[in-house]
Amino acid sequence: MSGRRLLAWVLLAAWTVWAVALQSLFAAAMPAHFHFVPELAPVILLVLASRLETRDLPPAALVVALARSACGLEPPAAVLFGLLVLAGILRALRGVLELDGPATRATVAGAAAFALALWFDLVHGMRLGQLPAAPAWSALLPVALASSLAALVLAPLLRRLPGLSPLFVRRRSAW
Amino acid sequence: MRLTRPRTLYLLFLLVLGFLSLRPYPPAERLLDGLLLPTRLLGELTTPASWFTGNSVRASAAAGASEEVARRDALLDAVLAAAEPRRRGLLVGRDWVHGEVVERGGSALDRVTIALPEQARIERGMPVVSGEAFVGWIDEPQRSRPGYWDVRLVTAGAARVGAWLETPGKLDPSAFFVAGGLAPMGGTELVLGVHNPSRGDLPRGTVEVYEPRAPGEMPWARLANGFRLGTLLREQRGPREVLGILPELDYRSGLFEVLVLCPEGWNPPEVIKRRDPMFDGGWARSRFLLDGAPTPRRAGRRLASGRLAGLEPGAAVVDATRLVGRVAALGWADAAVSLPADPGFSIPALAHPLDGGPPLVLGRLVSLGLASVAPVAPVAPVTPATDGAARRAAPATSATPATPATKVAAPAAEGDLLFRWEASLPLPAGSALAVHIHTGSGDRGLPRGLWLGDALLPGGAGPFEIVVKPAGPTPPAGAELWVRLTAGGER
Repeated sequence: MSGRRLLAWVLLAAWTVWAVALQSLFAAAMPAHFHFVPELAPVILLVLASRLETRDLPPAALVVALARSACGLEPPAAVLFGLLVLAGILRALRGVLELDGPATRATVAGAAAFALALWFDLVHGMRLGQLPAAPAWSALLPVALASSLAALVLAPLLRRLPGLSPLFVRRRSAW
Repeated sequence: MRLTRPRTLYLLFLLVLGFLSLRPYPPAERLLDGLLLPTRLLGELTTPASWFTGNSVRASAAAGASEEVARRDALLDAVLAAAEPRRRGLLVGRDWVHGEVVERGGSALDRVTIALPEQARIERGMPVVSGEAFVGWIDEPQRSRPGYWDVRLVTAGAARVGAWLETPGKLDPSAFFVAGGLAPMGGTELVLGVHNPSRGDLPRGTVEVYEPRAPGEMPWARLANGFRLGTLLREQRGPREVLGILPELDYRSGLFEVLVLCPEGWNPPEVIKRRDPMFDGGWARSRFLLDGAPTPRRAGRRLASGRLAGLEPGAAVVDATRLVGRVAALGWADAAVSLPADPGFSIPALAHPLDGGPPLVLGRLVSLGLASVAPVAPVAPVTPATDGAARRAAPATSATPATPATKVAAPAAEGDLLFRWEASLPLPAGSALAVHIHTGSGDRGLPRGLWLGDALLPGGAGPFEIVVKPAGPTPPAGAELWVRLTAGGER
């Protein structure tokens, strides 16, 4: 691995930590029962998915998961599992969908954030010895909506984060 | 989709991660935490985020600290006093040593672990009591932790103690039997077993320990004579008649402070003193890394210390005398801390009435998260009861069929917490009591007397949902906090 690519991976971790830290500050600043907080880890992975080499998707999921674990309460195994599953799904999806399209991006980000939040709730419940009776729709749907919105608004910014370009596939001009 | 070797390995790795997520396996988690050690450095990257948050809350928190320390001291004095019998005659001709319940044996209700002064002379078989109630016997010392002793509870399967019946006004010399273990009741009702009664028509009454003098007996076998086991229960339940003893204690979560009875002059007087875990050196200094958690459905923080600093799961995170949270998950160099607003956060609790009454053992409180500010159900009349003894002696009703959790009538403000309280030892019906809520004993790594907040406790049979006004705001990232070290702590 070249030095530039190694630096790019480190910078991806740093940017993700900062994004999740801002997400945490935003969640803490909002009033109680305000759930309209985006889940930025899957959003970042999704936004980068269309630009990364296929083989780089699992390492990207790993780096994003490490950064998410550094700020969150969820067990690292659960975060790794959730984001590695998402990487596998994105790898399959990008063969059949244009993940760069705004509508696709928003839909997939919403669904991914919803599934990840549901998974985290299930893990928390199981570790407490109780199985949640039904998903808390009123809490999970705002997370999905906020994540969709974040994927729409933040994608151009996330793709231009300094230092990540060595990870991206070079698109050759048709000319 | 064709399965190649890397893809198969990927799927296997996912399977292992999924399993570990749902069913924690400590050795594998420790290994994974070791691999994730670099994430600790990532956590430090969030430090600048704390520049956006102020430290103004610290000043207001510090202002009330001395008052809180005084109140905590008063509470601990009252807890010690509550462990001693009101009928002082019960202690005539006996010495005793105070012990704090620091760990419970789980759901089996067989044993608890107590911490005693290290210099105390303790022997296997010495009776253990709480108030006027018999609890069990000293069993084994814990070799790795001097001063820690296992206590075999009278609820253990093979536990047996001689007993007799005190019918109203007199001791009935014809009603002897053996008590111990749990009567087969089914459900969650906890009733002590009655064995070999001297007659078949035992009337209702109070059951006391009575061990007759026997040749070759240990000198302390009869020290517990006169301490109560509970009230004799004899009633028809379906096709069969149930004979047992309704205990006075909530053995599941109500045991906090006990006395170990010794023969007179057995221990020098200086060992009968209060141990204060706040000043025993079993603490590690730490700080939060970030002011918030990524998801609003959880309330917690990342802590800048982990296993390498000696932390264990469940350890208390403390700011002065306030309980800030408990360690929920550990890495090698960092940890996840659950705050009281985190759903599932739980503590054994003591209530200290605002009217100055004696402390009440509440059992376990489980957090349901932040309380909704929406209007709540009708308000119960606030009539602070003063007869603490009567409240403590109320019969255990954990066996009452579970009723839906009842909303308690206390208006919730922004930031208030909602806790589930089983009310195993309920307050008198129709009353409500304003209290400070403190931690009780029995959870490893959680010293008693830490202030959680204030609440209005309803009377009557539970379970209830109670609104708790938190003791203070969560300390900001970077502020000095103290975390309980279990190894070498609790002393």
